[in-house]
Amino acid sequence: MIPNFTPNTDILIQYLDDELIPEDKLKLEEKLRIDAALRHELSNLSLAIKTVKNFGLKEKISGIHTEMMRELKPVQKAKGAGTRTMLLKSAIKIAASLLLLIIGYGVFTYLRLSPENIIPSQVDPYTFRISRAPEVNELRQAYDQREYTKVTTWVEQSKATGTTEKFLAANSYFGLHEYEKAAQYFGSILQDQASEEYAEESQYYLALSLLRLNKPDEALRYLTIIRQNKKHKFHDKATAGLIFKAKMLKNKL
Amino acid sequence: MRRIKKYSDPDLLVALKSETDIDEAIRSMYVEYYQTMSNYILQNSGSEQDAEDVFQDVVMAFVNLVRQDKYRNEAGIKTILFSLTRNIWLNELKRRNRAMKREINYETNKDTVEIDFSHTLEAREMNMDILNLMNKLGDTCKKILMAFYYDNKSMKEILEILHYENEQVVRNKKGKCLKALEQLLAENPQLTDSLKTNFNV
Repeated sequence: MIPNFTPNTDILIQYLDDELIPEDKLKLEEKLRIDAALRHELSNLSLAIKTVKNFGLKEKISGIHTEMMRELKPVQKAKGAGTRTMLLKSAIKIAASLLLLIIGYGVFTYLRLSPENIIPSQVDPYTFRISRAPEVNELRQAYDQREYTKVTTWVEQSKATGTTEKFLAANSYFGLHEYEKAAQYFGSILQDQASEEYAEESQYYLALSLLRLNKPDEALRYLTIIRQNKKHKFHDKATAGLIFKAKMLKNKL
Repeated sequence: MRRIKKYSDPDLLVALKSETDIDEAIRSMYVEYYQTMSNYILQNSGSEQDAEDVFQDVVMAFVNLVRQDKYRNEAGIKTILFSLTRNIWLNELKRRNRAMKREINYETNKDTVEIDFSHTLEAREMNMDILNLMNKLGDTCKKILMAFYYDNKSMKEILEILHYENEQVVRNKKGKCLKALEQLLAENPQLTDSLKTNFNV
């Protein structure tokens, strides 16, 4: 582009660049007051200079921007990566803590596992439903009143062989924490092929007695039978947890 | 990252007006405010590139406000920058003709102030037009005009850089370049008006 210089362009530029001597400056300002075209050209040249300055500032900011992005972006990325790493580390720490807790609890449970823990002494023997029938005899009354020694003494002395008497004696021994004798009587009831009476009750309490006697292997036999039979009266009591503990006890032996 | 000077609000304003300290002052604006402003753009449908572009415009607009004495501590610098960011970004979304304005969080932000930045909103388009104009002017003219009017170099210094025969040749060349730019502006009345508004001419 070939610029169209007016006769005044040079002097106007010198004026804007503050390069005029004071006399020439005054003369020009005098002319500017009366000459609109001159004022217009001055205004346009001034705008051009401001445009250059604006462009320069834009270029400067653009240069600093590029420089700063080079410096800030890696920091931001590192911060981002740092945050992600920290989150991951925290998650791993939490997971490890939980795992340790679970393992710790498992080890603790395993170490303190004993027949007494599995079947505490507070476990009551079999409880009969309250019966108002007149046939409830003196022996049963003694049992219901937890006079277990009286029951066992009577059964031992009378050498009673009835299933009910044996069952009362077995449970009385269980209530007295004499698990060996309890197991004998429950076993005897189960060996009596003639009667199904008290069979399911005897299986469950025999299993408990055997656990207390630290014979988890034998106890597991009965617990498994009970667990597998959903119609068994004690199905809900032979829980998976109880079986698991019995297995742990077996492994511990 | 190398150490960049941290400025208080009043010191930053002084530095932005200074020819020697402006670079460091702009750098410190990046360190102090880029992250916050960039997060705003990213949270309001913008990309990282949008955040960069808008922040450049924000810095440009703010430096102009300061240099033209239009910023008179109406609010803290961070507040002003946030308002500029918000306004420039909203304007950009409008310009893109997306109906995304609704998506902007109009949360009540205690840092938001309503200041009239209307003339700064056209800054991006205006800067693009100026860039085109300067490119039309050619590389030599760009260098001479920039060296003299922006970098405040003397004719003697420009002569050393551009290897002309003598200072008078450089002076004549500079005059022709400025006149050429003036004529290019005259051919673009819309940009001229916008520049006049922006530069208070």
